[in-house]
This record gives sequence, C-alpha cells and structure tokens, in this order.
Amino acid sequence: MNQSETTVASSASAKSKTKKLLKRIYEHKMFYAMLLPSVVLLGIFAYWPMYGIIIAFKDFSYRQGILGSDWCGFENFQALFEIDMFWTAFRNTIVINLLKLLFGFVTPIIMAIMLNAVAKKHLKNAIQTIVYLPHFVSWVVISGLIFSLFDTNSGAIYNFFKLLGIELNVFSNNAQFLALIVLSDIWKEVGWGAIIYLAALTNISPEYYEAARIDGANTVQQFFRITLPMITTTITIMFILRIGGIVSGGFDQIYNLYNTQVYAVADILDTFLYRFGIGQGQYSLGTAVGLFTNIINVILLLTANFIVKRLGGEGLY
Amino acid sequence: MKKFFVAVLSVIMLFGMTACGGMGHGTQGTKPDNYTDDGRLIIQMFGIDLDSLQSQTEDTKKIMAVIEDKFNVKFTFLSGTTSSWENLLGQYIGGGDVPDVFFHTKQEPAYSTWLKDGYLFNDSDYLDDYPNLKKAFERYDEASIKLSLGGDYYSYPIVMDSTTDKEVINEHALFYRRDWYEALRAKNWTPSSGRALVDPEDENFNYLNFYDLCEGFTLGDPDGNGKNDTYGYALNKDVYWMYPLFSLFGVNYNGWYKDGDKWKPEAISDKTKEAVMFVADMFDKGFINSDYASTSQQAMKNDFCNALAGMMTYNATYPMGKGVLDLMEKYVPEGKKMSDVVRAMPVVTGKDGSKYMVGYSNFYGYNAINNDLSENKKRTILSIMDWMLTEEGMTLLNYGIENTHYKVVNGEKESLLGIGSDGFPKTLYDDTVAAGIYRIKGLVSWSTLIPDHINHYEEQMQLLQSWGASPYLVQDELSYISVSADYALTISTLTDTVELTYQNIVNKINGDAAAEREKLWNNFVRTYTMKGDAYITAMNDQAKAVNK
Amino acid sequence: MAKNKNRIRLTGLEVTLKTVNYVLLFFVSLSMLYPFWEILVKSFMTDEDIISTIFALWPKNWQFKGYNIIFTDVTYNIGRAFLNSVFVTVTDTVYQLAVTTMAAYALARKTLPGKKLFFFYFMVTMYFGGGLIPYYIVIRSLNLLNKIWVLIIPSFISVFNVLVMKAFFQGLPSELEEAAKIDGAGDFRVFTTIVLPLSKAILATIALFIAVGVWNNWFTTMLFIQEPKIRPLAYTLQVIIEKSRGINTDTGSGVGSTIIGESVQYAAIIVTIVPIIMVYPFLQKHFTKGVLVGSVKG
Repeated sequence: MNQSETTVASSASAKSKTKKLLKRIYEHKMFYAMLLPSVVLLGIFAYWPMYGIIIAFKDFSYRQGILGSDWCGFENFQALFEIDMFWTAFRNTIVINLLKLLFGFVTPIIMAIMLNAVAKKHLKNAIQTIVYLPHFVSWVVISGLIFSLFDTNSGAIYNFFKLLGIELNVFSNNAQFLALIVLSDIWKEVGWGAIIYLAALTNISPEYYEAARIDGANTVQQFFRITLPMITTTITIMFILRIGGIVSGGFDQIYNLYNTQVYAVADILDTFLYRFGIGQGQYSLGTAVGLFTNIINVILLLTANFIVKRLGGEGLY
Repeated sequence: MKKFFVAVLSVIMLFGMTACGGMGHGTQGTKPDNYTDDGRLIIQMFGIDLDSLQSQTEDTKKIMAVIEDKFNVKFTFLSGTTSSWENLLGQYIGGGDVPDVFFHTKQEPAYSTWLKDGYLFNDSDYLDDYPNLKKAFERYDEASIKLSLGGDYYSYPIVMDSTTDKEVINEHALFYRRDWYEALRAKNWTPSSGRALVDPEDENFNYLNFYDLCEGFTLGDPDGNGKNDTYGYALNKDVYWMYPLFSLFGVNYNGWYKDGDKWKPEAISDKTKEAVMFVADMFDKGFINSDYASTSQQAMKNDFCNALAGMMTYNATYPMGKGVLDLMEKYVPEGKKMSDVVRAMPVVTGKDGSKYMVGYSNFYGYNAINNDLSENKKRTILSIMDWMLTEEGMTLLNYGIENTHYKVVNGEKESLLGIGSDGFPKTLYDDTVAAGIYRIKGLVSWSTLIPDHINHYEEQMQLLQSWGASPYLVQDELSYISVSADYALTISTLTDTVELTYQNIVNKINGDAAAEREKLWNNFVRTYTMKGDAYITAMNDQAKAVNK
Repeated sequence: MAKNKNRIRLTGLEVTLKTVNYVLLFFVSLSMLYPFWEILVKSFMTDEDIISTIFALWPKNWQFKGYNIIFTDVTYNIGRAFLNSVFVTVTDTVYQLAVTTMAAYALARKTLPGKKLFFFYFMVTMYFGGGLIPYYIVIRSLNLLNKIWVLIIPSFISVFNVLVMKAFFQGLPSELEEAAKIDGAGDFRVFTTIVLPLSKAILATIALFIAVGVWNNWFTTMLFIQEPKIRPLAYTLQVIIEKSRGINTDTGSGVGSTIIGESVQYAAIIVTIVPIIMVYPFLQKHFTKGVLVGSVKG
C-alpha cells in the first residue's frame, strides 16, 4: 500500500517534471530555431566526416571504402610510433608551442598595458590600427615579407645584423629558425592578442585608481594592486586555451616558411601529417596522427582546467 | 563532464557511421564513360601547372580543337602547383576520384600503395598496337624499368629531351664568366698553388685548375673594380646541386658502387668523403657563398647575374638558359659577343684523371592511366598519346597549325606568330600565344623545341651541349632498382641524414675544423650503416634479380 | 608638505614611464610598418635594383612590370578573381555572421533546456575532425566540388566566434529584455529590436574577423576548385608567389618554362593586402568594445 503510493506519487512527479520540461522547451522554441542552422551545418560538415576517424583503425584502401576496409586494431598506431619522423614532429610541435607560450604569452599583456597607458585618444587609436595590422594578413604574405627582410642581398634585417658583424643564417640554422618562428608569431599576433586584455583593462572602473591615488599608491603599486588582479581571470582563461592547443596548430606559418634543412626542428605534426598522410597516400597513418594529437590536446585542456580550478581560479568549464 | 564529452562524441560518431556511412563504400569495377552533350568522350587529365589549359588562350583552343576533333574527345583538367600537386593527387586517389590520366613520380610509399590497390593500368599488353608508344618505352633498359615500376609497364615515362635517343642526359650547364678568366690571364694572375692558370675549355683542365680558377674569381679581382667583392662558385641550399663538384671525384652521392660482388651506397664511400672535404675547403677559403645553405636557386642565379659569382650550375634548357643570358646582356662590352662573357664549361678532368659527370634518365616523371576506365577509354587515351609522338602530332604540338601559326616556305617552317616584346619572333609556347600546348604535350614529352630565331641562339645551344652532348655522362647503375615500400621511410630518413651531414661538414666550423669534420663524417657513416643495413641488403638482392 | 613632495616624485616617475612607453610603442609601430613599406618599395623596383640595394627605402628606378604582369596575365584573370573574392567575402560574411549570431544568442540563454548538450556539441568540433579524405568525400557527395559555394556553405566552422559572441550576449543587462517582454514583445522582436542594435560593436568585430579569414583563404580553393573562372584572388596570388620564388629543384629539370621576376612576387603581395588595409581602419574602432572579457567562458 505504502509502496504503491510512493510509486504513484513519484510517477506523478516524473510526469509533471516531463510536462514542465516540455513546456520549457516549447517556450524556447524560438531559440531552438535559431540554433538549428548551426547545428545542422556542424552536423554535416563537422560530424559527418568524423566517421572517417575509424580509418585510423583500418587498413584503408579506397577500393574497399572506408567501411569496407579491413580492421587492423592498433597496428597503425604501432607503425606510427616506430617512425622517427613522427617523434621528431611530435617533439618539435611541443617545443615550438612551449617557446611560443613562454615568450608569446606575456607580450600581449604588456602590449595591452602599454596601450592602456596612452592617454591621448587619437594617438592610441593610431597605434592600435598599426599593431593590429599584421594579424589581418595571411602567413603566405607574411612569409613573403620575411623572405624579403632576410634576403642576403637586399633584406633590411639581414643587412642590419651584417652591419653589427653578425651573419644571419635564418633558414638553415636550427636555433635561428626557431627564433624566427617564435618572433614572427609574436610580431603577428601581439597587437591582436592585446585586445582581450585591453578590454579587461578599460573595464576597470577609474574609481579604483582614484581611491588608490588618494591612499598614496604610486603607478607601480597601482599596477600590482589593481591592474593585475583585475585581469587575472582573463589571463587564466587565455592560458588554459593555449595549453589545450600545445600539440597542434601553426600549420600555415611553418608550411610557408620551412625547408628540408630545418625539418629537424621545424617539422610539426600538422606538416608531417599533410606531407605524409595525404601526399604519400598513407591515409590510415595520417588519421592516426590526427586522432592522437586531438586526444592529447583534450587531455591537456581538461587537466589545465582542473588544475586551475583546484588552485581556486575560474576554469573554462 | 569528461564522461559526458566522450558519450556525446561516441553517439555522434555512431550516428555518422550508420546514417551517412553509405558514402564510405568504395568503388568496384569499371568507371562508366561519360560524354559531353555533343557526344565527345570526356578525358580528365591531372598534372602540374595546367592552369594554361584550364583557361585557354585562343591559339591554345584552336590547337586543342584539332586534337579533340580528331579523336572526338573533350579534355578536362585538374591542376596542382609544384608544391601542392602530390597532396592533391593523394586527395583525389584517397577520395576515390582517380583521374583518367595523371602525372606522378615514383615516390614511395605512395606508388606501391596505388599498385597494391590496382589503380594503375598495365600498358604492357596493349603496346603492340601502339608502335610509337612502344618505341618510347623501349628507349629505356626494359628489365630495369619494368622492375622498378612493379614488374610491368604500369606508367609511361615522359620523355624529357626528344631530340636525342639517349637514355642518359643532363640538361644543366656550368655557367662561367669567360671575361673574368680572360681578365685574370691579361694581368698574369697566378694561383697560390704555383700552378699555371689553365683555360677552362682546355681538354686537360682538371679539378685542381678548377680550384685555382675559383681562387682567381675570389681573390684576383676579376671584375677589375679594385674591390674584393666576388667569389668563385655559387651554390644553393639544395645539396643536390653540389653534384658537379662531387663529379670531380667521380661520385654520385645518390648512387651505388660495386665493391667486390656487393653494391654499396656511394653516399658513405671514401671518394664521397674526399669530395665533401673538397667542398668544405672551398667554403673555408670563401670560394663558395658563405650563405649558400639559405640561398634559393633564384638567389643563386641572382648572384651570378649580378657579377658576384663567377660560376654556377643551372638549368641550360630553353628558355631558362637563355633567361640567364638575357640578364647578362649588360656585361657584354661594345664589340664583344655574349660568348665572350658567359660560357658553359665542359666536363672537367677529375681527380683520377678521367672525366665523369652525373647524368639522369631521359624522362620526367610518369603518366599513368586509371585502371578502372573502360576498354574504350583506355584505348582512346593510348591512341592520342601514340599519335602525339608521330611526326604529324609533334609538328602540331611544336609549331601549331599550318597557315595559322606557321607556313611552309621552300620546305622550311616559317613562323607567323609575329614579333614579341624582346624584338625576336614569338614562339608557340609564349604565354600570350599557346602556353597550354606545352602542357598537353606533357602527356608524352617534356622537351622544349628551341626556336632558331631567338636572341643568343648559339650561346643557348652551347649551354645545352656542354654536358648534354658529352660522352662522359654516367647514370647510377642501380637507378631503376627499387626495393619494397617498407623501406620508404628508411630511405627518406637516410636521404635527410645524408644532406644534413654534408651541409654540416661544409658549413663554418669553429675550432679544430679538420677534427670536427672527421668526427661528423665517422658518426654519419656509423649511423648510415646501422640504419640502412636492411635496405642495403634489399638493394643487393634486387640488383641480383636483374643481373646487375 | 610631505605629501606634496611625494606627489612631485610620483609625477617624475610617471613622466619617465610615459616617455619609455612612447618610445617603445614608436619602435613597435615602426617594426609593424617597415616590412610592408619594404615590400611596397620593392614592388616598384627593377630586379637589378632589388638585388643590389641594401636598404630599400625608395625606388631608384621606377618600374611597374610586376603590376603589369599581374594585371594582364592571360592565365590568371585577376579582375575576375578579384570579383570572385568580393562575392565570396561579402556573401560568406553575411551568412556566417547570421548563423553565428543566432547560435550565440540561443546558447547565451541561461534557461534553455539542453544548453549544456548543445555547448558540448559545439565544443567537440573544435577538437575532433575526420581528416581530409572523409571531408572530401562529404563535399563531393553534396555536389559541392568545383562550385563557388564550397567556399561559402561549409565555412561555418568557427565555434570560437560563437563563443566570443555568446560571452558578449551574456554580458548584456537582462533588464532591457525583460522590460521589452513585459511590453509584449516576442523573443524574436527582442532579438532584432533590442539586442542587435546593442551589439553593433561585436558584430563589426566578428564580421571583420570572418571577412579577413575568407579573403585570405586559398587552401580551400586549392583543395576543391579546379574551375579557373571561380577561383578567388587569394589562390591566384598564392600561385604567383610560389612561381616567382623559384622552380622545382628536385629533379633538376626545367619544369617552369617561364621566369617570373622578383618584383612580381612583391606586387602580388601588395595587391592582396591593399583591400584589407583599406577596409579595416573603418572597423578598427569597434575592436576594443567588441571583444569582451572572458570571451570564451562556458
């Protein structure tokens, strides 16, 4: 008796819950309609091709088709892990991204603070216009600029260093090439990267500074007591995102700049995958590379997020 | 959250696989023929830089129409650039759109994959019906080329120089500044070695005289401007282009030599070591551009054409060779000829007293026919290629249409194309005339006809013949021998190692250079022998199979 | 007295910092501009001058050969390519912006049932993909190969833009919407009449973001378009730049039968970036307002 009563009651409450949910869903019909195009588009162009991931576990030949090709378990991964070039590319990807993170993460923050300190509005605008510019130019063009600047006949940078007695060898010297990769990336993205921090900075109410000034805090103190704490959240989030991308990215830049001589430090997973997976017809191995990097990136992203949360910061999720 | 993430992913993937997986079934059997509205058979061709066929000039259209009408076909074109074509082809093949005819090189492991999957048509059984094609195939060492292609004629080797029947050719030249040499002679400059300065075109000019000439071009102020602003020999970043220097020591670092009854890679031979050390010495002395390792081929050419370097090796083919000569025009003094300023150096006598120059096969890549085509279409394509190789076909492809592009006067062809912007008669392959025709000719031949009414015609010919007509051209004996695709990765790793090591040895070395270089070399030989052991054995087995 | 002294020292420090700041910013700006200047100058120089000039600050001998070749090349009809680029950029920007804005607005709604599910549906696509071959097969089965639409329809993949916009919408004061609702306006009316006008800055930013990406994209064209009539400018210039950098050196055979001079490459670069430089300063003032704090917060 008692038991059945509870069952009835719970089923009734479940019913009303479902009803409530349906009602809420109905109330939001407009929003579902708005989501529909993007959900469909992602379904077609992002999710549909994902069935191709199974190629990584197959001995793919088009004659048999993606579904018809024979399964081969983890053989592709085994084969992949035996390739020296793969590990070189893997290491290079991480090294390049870590270097970019080390040197390139702080620069936009500094840039934003510097820009924020410019009081004259027009001047600030003019400088902003200039420093954002490289972001809007593709790597094809930037590589053109770089080849021109480091040209041994007429390159300005090459000749500048030559005047200082240093003979640059950027496209064949491993260390110099790495420096080029990191610096050109910073050069291209520093202005644009600063925008997010700049927004955070302009959002700080002037009253804080006013109060600090009355308390006798100088510029440097104000910076450490107000400015920095106020943009910590932004910094954390950007940091997590960067960590999540440490095993990927940079294809355009490397593809347009590298050459066989610097493969030892410049060949990254994306370029390796493109050359080897498609160009050499090793589709299964190529897909395995892709899957491998994706999984590592997601793990890194989630780990970074978890650690930040543990430390009391605001995470992504 | 993580579990949720994975759950969403797997649901979506399952959905994708079941609902849309239908697309994943491969192709089996013959690809049906498709026709244009007016009943022409459509043939799809894939190649490098076919843009000029994709958007054709009026003249290209006219000539194409002749071919298309004759065979009642319609060509469509898929084009890749020099850097993108391999990936594009990989994409088409992987996506199941194998082009009807496609250009390819024998790059492993891609080639073996296609062969295994059966994408390549076997020409062998059909050749008896196409005499011209058969003749073209037979130009090469039959057993070897068949073996390298997988046991049969799977692809057509595209002729590079159709003016010669030779299997081994070399279309480069060692450009040198004749006037600089004359200037050194005129002021009685003597090399520090104490040897006499020898004329580079003298039969006995040897590798030491070459070294002396480099010194003269570097230290002897050959341009007489009082400044030390020149150097001997321009190199570029591709180690490949060091081959003329290696040839002085009778080696081809990509090749193999016989030691007893065993084949060994030349890359780690003692002769090669000597050659590399020779280049390193030239580098130390400043005879080679110090930044060669980052110099593009274009930049290397610039050094030569701007009187910085006295020598370089560059393509001698038309119009590239002529292009260099045109740029050198400004150095020809009043009353002198181009041949007094820039000439090509004949093969230099090497260290062992003999003459040797690396040569290569007379073909540029292959054209394959898609094996899934209908019998009819395969035959049609073969007929077109066969016809292109006839006198009639070649005349059309080289000169255009009679009375439109040329007329015959007293049995000689006379161009009707008019005068180009450089004041000389235009040729069929000019961008403004019918550049696309050169590309369609690429189905069977990559050779360029050299029009005899061009500026610097004689000099251009001298460039081409300096090595091209030389009896000293040697091709690697095992160049057609290839091993299973399993070794493809080993080979590419080894190639990288070889090139990197050579450059490291040549490049600036601080401290005890000789000892450093010795160490680099020994390490390299050890690595190569260790990593390449199985590959070397496999090459030997394959070589035995064709009785090499 | 003590306070006053303190003040003077403060301004002294401030002045120093300011000066250093201005000097640094000057050099940064210079480093951003000079490379473009060098390319511009070189595009007007003769090949001989390009090779022999050490610092290219001003052309000694003017020539327009590079531009001439680019604009008159018969194979690469640059006018046509330019029009294609304009068409693709405009259409695609409008299309992507519409899809992105709607998705972002819906995702920003805190009360939306299944919001988390949708959020992950979007996020997964940022980290997993099927690779080129399956994508190619999908594009082909949708009959998009060799169609200009292949550059437009599948281009909605930037979940990042959705997230940035979503953060912006979440930051809007909800009182406005509620007030409008009390007045009887429907969700869609609220969206079009209240929300959108408030979001001009973010719309401009995202629009520019999309437009530049589309304008610079040559890769998709390379993969899927073989019809020269519908190829956009970015691809054409990529080909020209590649050709002018040199020839295929591996086999050592003369594949490239034409020699393109150095200035062509530089002219091609200038032609690509001029439209961007002309458009973007007008939108630039919206940037700081547009991209807001915590833009990627879930």
